[in-house]
Order: sequence, then C-alpha cells, then structure tokens
Amino acid sequence: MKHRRRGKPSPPAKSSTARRAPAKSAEPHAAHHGSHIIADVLIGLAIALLLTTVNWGIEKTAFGEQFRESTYDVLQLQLMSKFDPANLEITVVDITGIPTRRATSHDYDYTDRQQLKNLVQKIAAQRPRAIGVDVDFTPYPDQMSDDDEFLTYCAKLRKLDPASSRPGVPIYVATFQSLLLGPAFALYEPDYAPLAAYAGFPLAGEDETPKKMVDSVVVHYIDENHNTQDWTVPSLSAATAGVPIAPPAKWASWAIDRVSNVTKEGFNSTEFYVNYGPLDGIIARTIAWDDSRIGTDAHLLDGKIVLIGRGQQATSSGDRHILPGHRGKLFAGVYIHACAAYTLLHHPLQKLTFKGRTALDISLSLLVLIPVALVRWRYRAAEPHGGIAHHRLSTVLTVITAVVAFAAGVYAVNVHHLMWDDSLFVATALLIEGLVERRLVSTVQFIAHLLTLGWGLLLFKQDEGGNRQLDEETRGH
Amino acid sequence: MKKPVDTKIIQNLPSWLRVCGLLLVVLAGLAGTPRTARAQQTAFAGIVTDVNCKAEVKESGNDTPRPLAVGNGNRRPLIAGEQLRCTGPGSMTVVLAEGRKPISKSDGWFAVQQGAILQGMAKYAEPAFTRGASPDDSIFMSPPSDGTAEIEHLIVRWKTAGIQGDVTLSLSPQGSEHELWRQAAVPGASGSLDSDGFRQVLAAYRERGASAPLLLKMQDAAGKNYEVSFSLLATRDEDDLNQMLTEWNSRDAIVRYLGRASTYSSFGLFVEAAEEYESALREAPDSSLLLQLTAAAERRIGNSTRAAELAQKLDRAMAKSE
Repeated sequence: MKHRRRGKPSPPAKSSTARRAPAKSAEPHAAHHGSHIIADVLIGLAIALLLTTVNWGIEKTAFGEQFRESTYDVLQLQLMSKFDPANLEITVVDITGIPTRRATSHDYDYTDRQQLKNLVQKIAAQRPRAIGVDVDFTPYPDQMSDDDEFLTYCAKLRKLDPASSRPGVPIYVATFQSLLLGPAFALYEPDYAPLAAYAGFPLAGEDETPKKMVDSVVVHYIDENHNTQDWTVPSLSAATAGVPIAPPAKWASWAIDRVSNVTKEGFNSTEFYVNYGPLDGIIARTIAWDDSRIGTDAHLLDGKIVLIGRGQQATSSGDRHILPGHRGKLFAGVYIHACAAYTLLHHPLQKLTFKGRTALDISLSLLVLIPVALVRWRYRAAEPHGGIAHHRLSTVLTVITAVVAFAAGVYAVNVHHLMWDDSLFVATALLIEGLVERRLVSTVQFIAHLLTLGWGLLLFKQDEGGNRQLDEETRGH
Repeated sequence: MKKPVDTKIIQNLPSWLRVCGLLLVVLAGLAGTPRTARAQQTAFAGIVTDVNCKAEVKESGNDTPRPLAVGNGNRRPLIAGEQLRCTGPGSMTVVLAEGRKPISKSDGWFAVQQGAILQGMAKYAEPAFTRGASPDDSIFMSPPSDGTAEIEHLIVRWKTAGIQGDVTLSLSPQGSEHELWRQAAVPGASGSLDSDGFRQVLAAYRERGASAPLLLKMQDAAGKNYEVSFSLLATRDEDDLNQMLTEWNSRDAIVRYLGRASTYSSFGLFVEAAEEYESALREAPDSSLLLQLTAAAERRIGNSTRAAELAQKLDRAMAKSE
C-alpha cells in the first residue's frame, strides 16, 4: 500500500530481455497485488455501505431535512421553468367576492349557496370538462335546506340532459371529515354521494413543506347492519382530472414509486407528489366570479377543468398553505387542487423507493470503485514499483460522479419527472466518501500491518523458544 | 396572502389616483368581512337519523333545550358539544364514524362529541377548501388569525371577555403534537403576554428553516380552549418589507400611513396594518373612508370593541352628512 501512495507507474523496461525477465519473476507478486486490489475494492464497498447508512441517518436530522427541502425546492423551480401555459387545461374561478351567510342558530358562516348555484349554472353552460367546487359541503344544521337545493341541482347537472341529449357535466364538491360516515351521510343524502370529493391536504412534518396530495381515500364505514364497508372517494383533483395514476413500468417498479399509501384509523389514503410548476400560471389566469366573460365568451371554459374557490385574495378564509418552491407566501387550497389536477393530467411525479435509493447510492460508489480497480488490475504488474496513480484517478472519478449525480437529478426531473431530492446530498456524500475512504483504507491497512507484524513477532518468538530448547537438548547430549 | 403592491408603479401615478387606487385595493381585500365577531366552535361530529321520538337539542354553550328540527330524510347534522334526548316514546339513531347509537328516553341527554376517527382525519390533513368563515372568530388579537407575525415586536394579546382565572399558553406547529413552548399561570384578565422566551422560541423555529404554520393554544381555568393559527414573517421577506415601507416614508402623512398599511396587509401583518390605519385616522378623524378602513382592519385582527366603536362613529358621521 505504501508503494501505491507514491502514485507513479513503474518506468518501462528498456530491452526485451529486461522486459521479460521481471515479468516472469513478478508473476507471484502480481497475483499477490491482485488480491490487494480485490481487498481494496471490498474495503471500499464496505465503506460505501457504511457511509450510505450514515447518509440515511443524516437525512433524518434537521440539517438533512433542510438540505433535502432545498433540493426539492430547486426541483420544483425546474418544473416551473418547464411549464407551458399553452398546455393549461385548468381554470380557477375566484369566488372571494361572493358574500357569506351567517348561520341562524350556530356560530358559523357559509358561502351563499344561491350565488354559488348561479355561478355553476353559468359555468356549466360552457360545457367544461369537469367542475370542482372547493367550498366545504360538510353537513351543518343551519344550511341544510340551502345545501339540499344546491346539491340537487348539481346531481341533476351530472345526468344526461334528455332535451338536448347533451352529456352531463361531472361536478364535485369539497368534503372532509363527514366522508367517514359513509356514502349515505357524507353529503347528508345518499343521492348526493357521487358528488363527494375529498379536499384535505395531507400535513407534513414541522420542518417540511407538504408535497403530496391525496389521490383517493378508502373510508371504512359502518353500515346499518353494523358491518364494516369500504367506500372509495376521489380527491377533488383526481375527480376532476379523471385520469388514474398509471403504475411505473414493471421493470422499474421496485425502484420508482408514483403513489404512497397511508393507513389511518377509519380510512386509507393514496397520495401522490404534486407538480407546483404551473402555480404562477394558474394564478395569473384566474377568473373572478363576476367576470362578464363567463356568461358571454363561449370558449372561455369550454373543455376545461374549472375549479371554484376562494383564491389569492382570500386572506381571511383560513385556507392558506405553504407550498414547496414558493416559500414566503401562502396559497389558497383551490390552487393546490389545480396543480394536483395538472399533475395527474400530465406526467405524474415519481420518487425513488428505499430500494431504488439504496441501489443508486451504491451504484454511484461502484462507478468510482470498479473503474479504479479495473485500471489497477490492468497494471497490477506495476504495483511493486509504485503502481499507477489510482488515488488521483479515484479523486477525479469521484468529482465527476458527484457532478453527474447532481446533473442527473436535474435531468431526471425535467425529462422523467423523477424527484430525486437527495441527489445533491448524494453528490456531497460521494465527495466526503472519497476523502474519508482513503483515510479509512489507510487506517485499516495500518491496523492490518500492525496485526501481521504482531503475529510475525509472535511466531518468531515461538520459533526462537523452540530452537533454544533444541540447542540445549543438543548441548546436553 | 395577497401579492405585495408594486410601489414603483404606484409612485409614478398622480397622488389622487394613488390614494383612490390604494383605497380600492384595501376595500376589495376587506370585502365581505362581517361587522361583528363571535366565537366559532363548530366541528362536525355526526348525523342524527330515524328520529321517531319527540326530541330536544341543547346547542353548544346554550343550556336551553329546543325541539330538534330535522330536515329531509328525517335527518339532522350534529355539531360537537350539542346534547340530544328523546322526551317521549320511540327512539332516534346517532350516526358517528365509530358506529351507530340508538337513543331513547331512558338514555337521557346524549352529549355529542367528535370521535377519535374524525379527529384522526383532522390530524392527517388540513382543509384545503373554504367555508367562508370570517377571520375574526379567534379570541386572539395578536398574533392575527391566519396572518403573519413579526417576531421582534410580537406580543400575545387576547380578548378578556369570558376568560376565567389564569390561563396556560402553549405553542406547537400546526398538525403536530410537538410542543415548542408552554407558559402556565398567566393572568387571563391581563389580556396580553410580553414574553422574551416566547419570541426566542419563535426565532429558533424560524432559524432552523421550519415553515409550517404555528398554533397558539390557550386554556383557561374553566378548561375552555382557544387557539389561533399564524405564520412567521420569513427572513427573506423582512428585507422586501423594509424596502417597501421605506419607499412610503417620504410621502405625505395619510398616503404614507395607508401605503404602509397596504404593505403590511400584503405580508399578512394585520396587526401592524391596523396600527397604520389608526395613525391615518388620527390625521383625519372624521373621514368616513378612514373610519371604515380602520374599523375593517381592527375587525380583521379580532378587536371587535374598537371596530364597533369606529362603526358607531361612522354611522354618526354618515347621519350628520345626510
């Protein structure tokens, strides 16, 4: 090992005899150094595994979380730069100006249902692809009759119009906890159950921004016979987009995930990562509820997904959220549903599974280890004379791999929508690994030398003791 | 949060247009805000169905029973804190996420509570929709409900009406049970808490890059719970805010105060915005428009007493002008 650190290949022999002679005598040495190379690769691999484990540990710390959050923000900004407004099929209609009504005997307000109905009527006339009403329709006692009238109208809207033979307009309303009571009660009447869409936004940890939206919720409710039944409810974005999330290709399914499953008491949910790239575009194209074009411009909402909710002016609704890539501002929930629907309509975001991440981490380490080992193997004959400059080669390859890792992270999000949010972390870890590995290998080798030396001394002493005894015996005779 | 007003564009306009535009922006932002405040303690808990008995309900915080009015399908939604009973023969069924419970006269009053499953969903996700609830339902005036707080000047303020004895305040990130700070034995009647410890905890929270909104909870001696959700002004926004405020400083007094108020509002700093409106009102105490704006700003931070006082003054001014 000491020889290799000098990092200079042995000078080539001048004559053919000189070239041949050491080759013959060096054959056992070459084999010996070959085993050294294999040992170094194994040590390197062990260190890579150890450091990968340490990486996972660090990623769980506040520092690691922040690092990943920052990378995720960068990836979201990448998605934003790739957003093409021409492909935006979603329009938000901002109902901030619609007044609220005060409940008569309870302490709550609710959006005026008559005004909402008038608006839906105007929007439906434009034949949108789907309508999502991001207004809470959880049943409350004082708004029963108002809700009943509105939901009856929506249920009718969904059906085929026999007069004009025009298909119905898929329309959904926001629901939350009441879903847990099952389809017969979620929207007060069983007939309204097809209108129900889940409008919760999964909470993230305190040090992270929420990145996922619900695709669907499976509610385990208890029916009138006291049996547990399942009811699958789409989220507002999934219901309006109407596009299921296709699983990744079979060969990649072990490494890549598009959805994650969450199990809670009373329900399960399926979540997906949201592309917030179109957020600014959606906000810029928001239409006010009283915009005269809604009633006059026949092409304004034709074939679009229309989401109705309190938009950016709604500083008072309590429905304001922090989003990845857009820190320092809060956004209304209707924009999250809009981005989520956009994500489902276009390429859904993908994430590496635990297995995928592990394989990628180790593969990147191997990208450095294997070429170095191969080069060393090719020139193993030169090892006794100082060998090749493999540490320098290793350093160069580590830097290249780290840069490639980060570039691959950016490429993966742009082309495959793969959110490899620890690419920067892995790149940094690779550089650290390169530094640490050399010292660790040296330390291990130093310890091995010491042990060998100690073992040799021990053998020598034993041997010396045996000879002494033999001498004494010989002298005695 | 509204997008911050571009001060450069505004400053190139004639001053009369600036003031009018500013007022329109502010009025538009405050449109639909109700003039009175009341506590909002409404949480969906279940539905009562198959009501085949003469039934009564006691609403939350009201001990007077009323006949239970059911709607279509012989059903009525239930709110946590309500109580139900059958006063005659027959029964009714309460449907909760945990199952169905038949209630008859012999059961007496049935207290409706939000069960663990419903609470579990609220812990799993936050509502990404609106009911149109007004912001002034919180008992807290500072930090503002669903607004932003500037750590350096943050003093916790609350309305003292209805608060009994000492209160315990605690802080945690929204959706998390991890408590960041707690202070017990705070006199409820004091109406405020100026605590360096609280500000240090907030600074540490922001320092480590946490971005989740915070939930400040208060429990009084009678066990009543109150809470307010708010966010912290991000460090990067501080510079923008200061720059925008500075740009208004060279203006005439009223324009300056209104401009600063609009800037504060655009960052969600509603408490600071209300202070600026108050300053503007001091310059022109009889201005109907300023009375209206200041009342709305006070209402936004839950200061209903001051808002009502200004509303009365506004009514008098209007009557006088007529």
